[in-house]
Amino acid sequence: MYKIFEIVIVVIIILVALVIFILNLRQQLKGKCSFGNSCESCKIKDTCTIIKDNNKLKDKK
Amino acid sequence: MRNNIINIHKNNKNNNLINNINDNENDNNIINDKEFSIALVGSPNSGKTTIFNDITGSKQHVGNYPGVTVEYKTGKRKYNNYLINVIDLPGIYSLTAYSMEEIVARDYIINKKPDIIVNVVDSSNLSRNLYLTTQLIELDVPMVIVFNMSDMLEKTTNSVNLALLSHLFGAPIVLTVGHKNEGIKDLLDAIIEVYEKKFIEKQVLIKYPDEIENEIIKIQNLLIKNQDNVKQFNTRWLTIKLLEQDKEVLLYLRNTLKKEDYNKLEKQLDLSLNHIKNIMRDSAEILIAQARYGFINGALKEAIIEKENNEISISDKIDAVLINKILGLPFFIIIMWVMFQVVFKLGDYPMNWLALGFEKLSNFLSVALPEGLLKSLLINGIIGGVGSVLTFTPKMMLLFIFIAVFEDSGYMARAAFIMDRIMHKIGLHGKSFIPLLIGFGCTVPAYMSARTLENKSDRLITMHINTFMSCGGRLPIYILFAGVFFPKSSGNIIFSIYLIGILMAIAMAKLLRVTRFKGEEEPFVMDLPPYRMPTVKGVFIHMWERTWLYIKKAGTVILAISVLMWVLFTFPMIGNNYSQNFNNQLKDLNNSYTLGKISKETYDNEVLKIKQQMDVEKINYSMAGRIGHFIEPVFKPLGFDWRLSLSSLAGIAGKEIVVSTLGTLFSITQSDKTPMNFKDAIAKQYNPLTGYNFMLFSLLYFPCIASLAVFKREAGTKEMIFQIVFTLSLAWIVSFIVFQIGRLFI
Repeated sequence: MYKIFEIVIVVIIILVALVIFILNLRQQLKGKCSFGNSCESCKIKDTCTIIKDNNKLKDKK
Repeated sequence: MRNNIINIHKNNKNNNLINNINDNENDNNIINDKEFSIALVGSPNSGKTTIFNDITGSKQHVGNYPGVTVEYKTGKRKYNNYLINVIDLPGIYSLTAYSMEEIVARDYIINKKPDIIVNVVDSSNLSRNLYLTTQLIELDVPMVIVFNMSDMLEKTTNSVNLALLSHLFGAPIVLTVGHKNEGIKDLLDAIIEVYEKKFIEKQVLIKYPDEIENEIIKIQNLLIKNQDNVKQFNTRWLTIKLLEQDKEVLLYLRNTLKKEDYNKLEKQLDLSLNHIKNIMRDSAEILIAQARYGFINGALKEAIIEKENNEISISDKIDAVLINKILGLPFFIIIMWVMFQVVFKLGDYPMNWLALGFEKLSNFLSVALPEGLLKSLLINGIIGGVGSVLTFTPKMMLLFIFIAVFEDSGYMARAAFIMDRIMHKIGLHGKSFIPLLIGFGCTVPAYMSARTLENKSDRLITMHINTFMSCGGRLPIYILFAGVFFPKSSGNIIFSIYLIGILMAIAMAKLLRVTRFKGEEEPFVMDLPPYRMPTVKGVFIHMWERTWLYIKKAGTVILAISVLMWVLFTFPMIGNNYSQNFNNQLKDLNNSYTLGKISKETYDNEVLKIKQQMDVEKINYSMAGRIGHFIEPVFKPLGFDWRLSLSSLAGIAGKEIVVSTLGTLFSITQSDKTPMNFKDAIAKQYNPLTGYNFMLFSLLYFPCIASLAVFKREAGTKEMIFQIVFTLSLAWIVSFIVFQIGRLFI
């Protein structure tokens, strides 16, 4: 009985970890916030988009 | 007008304290709030963000180095039947189009048209800060002026005639002390007055020299003829901008006006500029700036009685030493050194308590749970992995306290100032220091903040060398290895790693400048705010914000990866595939012991040896073991075994993962060990040379996968690939040299 319980719990923990890992990886690949990782990046996003566009124009020139 | 001549010293600050952010939060009788928007505009370090926080109650980091607000933040405030939308614009010195922050702020004011501009002015430096005010006056937008940090006025003036100043600038002036939350109620009242048009003032015109005024009229007349095309602008403001040769305004008019009208305008502008230059012997831009400063100085002389014998300020006295050309850099290094000493000496105590706590938890689970997968997962995977990362939290907290004190006191801006000189010497833009500074926290926002650099070469060099700024994720690696191999001088060792990172960044910047990214740097003015005493509350909030991110990451991503690493370390299970029949050996040993052929001590030692041998074979058989052994040859010349090679590979997901992976690994291979003995296992397995070399390698290769994703987005795939190859090669070469030379002596 304990063996079954043990396997179920371990499988659940692994699945949850896998989901967190995939969600985190997806966020990271987008360069977005991910569970405390790089949260600060979002704060500067709006203005940075304007700056980035402007830089692009200047780079082209 | 509310403010009459006031004596600053008698100002009762306590009356201004407010405690409730949503004053009408619980007032159900309010049905129709009047809604309008205000935009906060001011110089960097004027305390604009603090005022924003005071008004909205929003949590936002208040830094003290220029450029901390490169975004616009929004918040709301309910006040006396009004719903005020508050926008915090980037800190700017003027409304010229020299920097992106200025363009962003100007575009917002002109195009988004907030109902009221709240111009936050640093009272300790009125003449410089009011320059922006004069430009806002010319934009002709409803405005409230805030003399923030008004307590500084007390130290330099006897009295301020606010009523007169308000009259001269055509806007109400309110005194605040943002960090003490003083004067905010007065400010909100003034905002409402302006919104309801109860404050009626004449439009203020800053008078320029007659020669310029004559030319203004000529150009303005041409613009008035095209009023329909430029109706969102004040034509006088547009004209002044044209005389200042504002490229953005010129470009806008070229795109907006008919070709013939634009040509006429351009011709007149050329004539006017030449005329002014010939008559006044200076450019219109300089003359306009002089006139504005003249207006400010005149207004201040009228309204402010300064203290006699105004001595050199305390800030100036401290700066004489801290940013001295010769002493500045040594002081900066000494301060950093002291910080590391205190952090690592003092942090040892709580760190050991925490490690002891994890050991007790591990022991408890070891006794409470029967042998099996769940026990192994909890003890080896979760406690071994996450526990090893969390034990460093106290030291991180201490370090964050120091950083918060430096930022809030104004020293961080001085550090930027000192480094600015070095930046210029290595051919980098002074502004590069800001992304580099952010890089000590996290490289992802650091890469993004490099956007503020307009020159592409500057931007790319800054991004490439940002890798060498030790991010927070690397700190657990340093704390672990420095603590294990250099317990008495761990502070010095970690300090040396940070220093090597900075030196490497300088060297690589120079190398990249002369090879891949040739070009000249642009000028940048570094602002030096006055020193301020950091508040305990402010320091605690900033420290906790950073610590919480670390704990959150440990509790989610690191936990998840530790569990997955445990899976890789556990499966496939070895079963009966051991190289020898260890079970029979154990049985034989047991029989010998039972029959009294061997002593208890010999029996225990032999059993431990067999179990360790079994653990090693078990882990070698696992997926992680196989991957580790597969990549080991690449790292062997650096002195790294398969364990360090594998943890470096896992570290691509985030550098903290290096420590959690080693924690899980040593926890599994030393099945009777607990996290407390993790350090002993590391000490037994490696030597100081390998330990230092591993820290060096971790410092030099790219930080994590998130940073690479941002790098690609910011600079493109080609640059990202260069970043990977460049940092990995450099890390490998440096570690190779250090190990190969080091082994001759050790």
